[in-house]
Amino acid sequence: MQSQASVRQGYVAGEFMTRTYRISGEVELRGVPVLDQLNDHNALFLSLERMFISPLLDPATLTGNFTHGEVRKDMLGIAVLSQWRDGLPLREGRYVGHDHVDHEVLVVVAGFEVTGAIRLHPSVNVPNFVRTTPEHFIPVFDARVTLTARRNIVFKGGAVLINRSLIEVFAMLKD
Amino acid sequence: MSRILIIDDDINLLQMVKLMLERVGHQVEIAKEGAKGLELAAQTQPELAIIDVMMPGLSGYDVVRKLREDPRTAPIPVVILTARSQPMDKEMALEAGANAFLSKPVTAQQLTERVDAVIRAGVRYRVHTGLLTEPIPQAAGEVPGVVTPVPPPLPHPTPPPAAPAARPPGRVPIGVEDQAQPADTLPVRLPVTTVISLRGGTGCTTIAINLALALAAETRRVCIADLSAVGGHVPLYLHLKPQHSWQDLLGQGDSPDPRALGGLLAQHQPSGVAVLAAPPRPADGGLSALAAQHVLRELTGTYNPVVADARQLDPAVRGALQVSSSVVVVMSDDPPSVQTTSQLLVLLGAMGIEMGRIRVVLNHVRPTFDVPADAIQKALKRPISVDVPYEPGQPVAIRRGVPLVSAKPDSAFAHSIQQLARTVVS
Repeated sequence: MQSQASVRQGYVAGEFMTRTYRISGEVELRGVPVLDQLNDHNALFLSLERMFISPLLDPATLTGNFTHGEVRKDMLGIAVLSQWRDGLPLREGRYVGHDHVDHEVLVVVAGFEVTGAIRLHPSVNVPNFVRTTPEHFIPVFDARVTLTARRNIVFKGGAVLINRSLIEVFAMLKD
Repeated sequence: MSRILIIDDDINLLQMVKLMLERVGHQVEIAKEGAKGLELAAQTQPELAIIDVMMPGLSGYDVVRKLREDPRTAPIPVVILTARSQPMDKEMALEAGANAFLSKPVTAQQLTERVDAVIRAGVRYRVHTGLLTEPIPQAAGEVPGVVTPVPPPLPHPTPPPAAPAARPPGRVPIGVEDQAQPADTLPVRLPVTTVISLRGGTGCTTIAINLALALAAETRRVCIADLSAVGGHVPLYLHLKPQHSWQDLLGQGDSPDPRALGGLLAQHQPSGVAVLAAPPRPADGGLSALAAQHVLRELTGTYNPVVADARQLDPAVRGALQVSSSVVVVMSDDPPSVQTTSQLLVLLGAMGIEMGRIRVVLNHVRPTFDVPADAIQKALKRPISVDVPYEPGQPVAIRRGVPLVSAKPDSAFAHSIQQLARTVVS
């Protein structure tokens, strides 16, 4: 039985980054959190509503807006969500719990440098988890994202969901 | 009550924000798209506009630029409310001419506090997180990247307040007893954080010094002003031996020349923090409220922010509290401290200090626990903003003159101070 807190409804606003675009939009949850939608192996695209597009190198300028849009999930490098709770899956237990600990990490993914915390049970080996989890996207909490090509472009989010298949470098900042 | 225009294409959010503002007595008009909003703004001349960024057709940035271009709508202060909440979005909104930036989701309290602060400050000021207010540069190029054309003042339902510079120099005698202005008539909040505790032994000075150093570590120019009238300890904690203190200002007939004030400051070389020391012995009289405000105003011309260490509620501290953009109330977890803090919060409320400006910091000065945090929050009827853990290295830090945020930057103590720094200054 799911706890009441984990059954999310409504919309979650987020920033979805490809190698060339910053796409802002809202994901309709219908009881399925953003992370689970991204990790749904049966769907190649993620549906966004009120979608606005900016070039990644000029990320504050709006170049297009659409009522609905579809983003191909395997082309996404990261998704930035402002609230860390919005980055949790329906089965929250993997990433949240009173006995979980924060492991500070650096992840270079699709031209972004992400620093933040992967929150797991102490018994889980973090590099093993990153190597072997079947999930496409994993959350990094309280994260700061720097665009490698333009280091003055920085994004911050309570949760940054990282496309594991596009990870170039992964490192633990503290053991 | 003010007339407020909201421009947003999201009808649900539009209704929710409308309801939040109407519940506190504002009169709200709404527009679902930018062009319609511009028309409405020109017709009705609202006292404030709240604008979303992501709208079809004209974006929020376009709407703000057009508002600023039209002489009829140029004097309307603008708050940008958007789900695009990254640093570059805030920069873009302020460059376009907005006066404040709020990211969604927003609580009713955050919204109403910011709206009230922007209306009070007027179109010539920017209001940041923590209600930190700063004047918008008048000429393009004065601040790199800012191209905001601020028009000449036009007739407006709420007269814009006088800028800090409008106070004629030399009118405020230093050291003359007076009363600070009521908070609602103050022209502007300064980037000042007053750290106060009325009970000794709660670590008020420790928190103030570490906060100043944490802010300085973010490459800010920080000054700490020790407002203690009974012998200040800030220089002792930093191993400084200042030759001057604010006592040198007592009895002066004129407002201090900024250069003269600069000569009173000592420099903490390792951190770059400037220190305005208190007299080493209990002072014979103190600064008046207006004099203290004048000193802080002058300091904020060079330093941003100024951290004021206050351990009593004399006129100088009252003056500082009224112009402070944030107030940090420091307490420990013993019953007398809880009682004193509860009374202080009532006093601050009576002085017109809005609760939104106050952060309560629970500083564990002993290794043992006394009153639980939950019970303290219930007693104070407000949340504890930051819980500072006990740090056994504190006495050594004082003896060595190296505050813990510098000596142990990875400690839990330092992390909690950094968290406090983030909450008081955006």
